[in-house]
Amino acid sequence: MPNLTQAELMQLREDISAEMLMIQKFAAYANMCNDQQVKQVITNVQRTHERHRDILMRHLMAAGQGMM
Amino acid sequence: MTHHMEHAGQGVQMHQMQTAGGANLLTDKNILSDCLASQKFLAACYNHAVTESANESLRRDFMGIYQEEQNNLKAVFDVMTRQGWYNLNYANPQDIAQVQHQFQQEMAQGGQPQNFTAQHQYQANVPAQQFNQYGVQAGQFTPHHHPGFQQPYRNW
Repeated sequence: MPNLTQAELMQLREDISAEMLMIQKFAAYANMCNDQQVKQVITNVQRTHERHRDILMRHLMAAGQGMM
Repeated sequence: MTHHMEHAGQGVQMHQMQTAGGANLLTDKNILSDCLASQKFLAACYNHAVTESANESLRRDFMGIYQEEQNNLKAVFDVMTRQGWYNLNYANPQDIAQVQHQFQQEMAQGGQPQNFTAQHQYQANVPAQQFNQYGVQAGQFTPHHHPGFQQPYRNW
């Protein structure tokens, strides 16, 4: 039995793609802004998005195992 | 899903704005406004993800990420406030007193639901664009949903 429900798989797919978009967008924004304080907060937030993507990817990849 | 497309659309627009003029047309304030909107969107996504999770370890991680997205939102909000880019709209003291009075009366009457007349009166006295109890204007999902948020930026 797979250990993910359909609803969970859908959430993972949506949230991973949202995080990936945010990683790119926040990276672009960090390069575009002028104020150092603004740049710093955007960079910090971008790093959390990278970590979130990795956490969710681990769940996704672990889900297929033990299934076959 | 609509929100994903909306965000992707903004990304394309941003790229065109940047390359067409050669100059950067988004101000730091514009950028942080969009970051705030994105954080609200993500917090809402993870709130929903938590409710949809049966798997205990996945649910725990969604909860942790939800908390972090809320902290990110607060961090962006704090920088905007420090820069004076976020205007808070405080409630009118008269309106506060009216709501206080309403519920004091209701509780004195044993917590019974108010009669129609009293409710009707209350609504009639509240200004048209009043935020509801969640700080949200009815019928919209926009970045302006932070409690007391004024709209200095744009209409989406």
